[in-house]
Amino acid sequence: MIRRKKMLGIVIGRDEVRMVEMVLTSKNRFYITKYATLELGTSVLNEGVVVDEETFANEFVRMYKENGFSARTASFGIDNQTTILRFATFPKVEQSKQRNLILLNSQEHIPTPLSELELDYVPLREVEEEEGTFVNILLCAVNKKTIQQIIDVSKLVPLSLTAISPIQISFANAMLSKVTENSFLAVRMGRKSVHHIVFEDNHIEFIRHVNLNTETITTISALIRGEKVPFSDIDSIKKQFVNSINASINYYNLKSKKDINHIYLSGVSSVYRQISEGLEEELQSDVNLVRLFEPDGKLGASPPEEYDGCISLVLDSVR
Amino acid sequence: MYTVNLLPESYIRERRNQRIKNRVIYGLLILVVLTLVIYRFLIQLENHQVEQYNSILQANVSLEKTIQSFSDPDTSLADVTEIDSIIGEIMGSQVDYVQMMVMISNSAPDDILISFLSMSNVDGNESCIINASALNYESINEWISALSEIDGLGTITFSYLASGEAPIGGNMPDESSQENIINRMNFEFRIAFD
Repeated sequence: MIRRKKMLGIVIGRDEVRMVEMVLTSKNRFYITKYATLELGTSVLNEGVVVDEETFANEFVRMYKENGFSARTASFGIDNQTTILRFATFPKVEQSKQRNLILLNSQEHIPTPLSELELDYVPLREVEEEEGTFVNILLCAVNKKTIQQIIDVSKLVPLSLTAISPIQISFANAMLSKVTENSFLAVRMGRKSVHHIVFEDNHIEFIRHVNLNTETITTISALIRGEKVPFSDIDSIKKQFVNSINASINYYNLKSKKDINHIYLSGVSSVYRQISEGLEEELQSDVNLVRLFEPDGKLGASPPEEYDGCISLVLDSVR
Repeated sequence: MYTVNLLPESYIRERRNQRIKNRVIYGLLILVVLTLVIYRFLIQLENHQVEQYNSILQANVSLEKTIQSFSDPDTSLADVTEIDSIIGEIMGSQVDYVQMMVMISNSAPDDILISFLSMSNVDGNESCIINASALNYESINEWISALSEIDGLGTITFSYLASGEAPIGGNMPDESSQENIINRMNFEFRIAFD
């Protein structure tokens, strides 16, 4: 039980920022008061890296004020390739010593000096080996400068931050709360990128972030707007979509010797409606479409699926 | 549920400290407001009590004036004390004055008119004085005989006053007997009690 709380979920994408303002009435009940997207362009935000700090800060504050947002607490998500995600295995030690052991020995798994990164991790599953018990870990790191830029821009509003996390973690949480299957591939399609997350016995086993090319982004945007798109463009999107999923499945199969029989799709439904025909045959799996969140439309706004990441961030921060 | 937070430890610590500071400030503000409310309540209570005290004081002054406006109670008290002492004396006496008065009055013959009857106790000497009138000496003798038979009565002294005078006080004779008034003899008995 939480008291009525207003919060922002903000996702920093490749060259855009999405913001959703939610009112939480209980742990899992909420409604959306406002949502907006700020397209910044690559001269300001390029692949998640802030190029022009001043413009980024000014535009962020303008977006907040002009759209009438009023929440003072926010949770940020990073939906671009500035996030470093690495799977690693560490010996299991006492709970109190585990964190220090992982943080001190993470350098060998991460190509960037740890002194330049903000680092955290997710414990996944324990594995019994001949040498003893090990813990599979998902290391998450982001450049300190990027984190500081987010903190600085938040102070201008001002906002109090509860968390900054990779968006894949929030999607994983949202998928696990929606899907009853224990082992499956979750595919999340956004306007500009696609996430693949493989779950085995409800644990994350594999994560992949695929950036979409400019032509595909243009076609997807046209489909979202409800415009007519040539069949060849839709066919091209479908081929890219199927190929990237098959590539992930094959990689996972090669690494773990396990098959994937269930695929759950979430994200822009207007695209799925166009490419869904014959998808099960091409992916050789049971394919289902999942709507991650259904905000209370009677009380507030009902934004499209591309804002699911923002919603998921807020729900994670209060759970 | 998976949880990752890439916020620097220093930011989290600062936020926690700020939250504690805010709580302390809010707590102090609530305390100040509560103190003000209690202070205001006490002031109101004090004003109310002062008003009540003043009202009682006024009522007291008014009551005092009313009491002072009454006559001096000392005189009435003296009268009451005297009456009380007389009653005490009567009660202390061995003579039952009421019974004695009834017996003396009842012993008088029909033609005797009693105009004055007094019973007194002076320095322990109890006596009775009767002024009356009669048509003739026989009636007076008859009465003396009757009186001498009453227990408790001692010596009877007879004094002749005058004749043909209307009696002072007592029962007035009816109109048919008016002619007898001029022939009546007035006399006085002084009777000592044993």
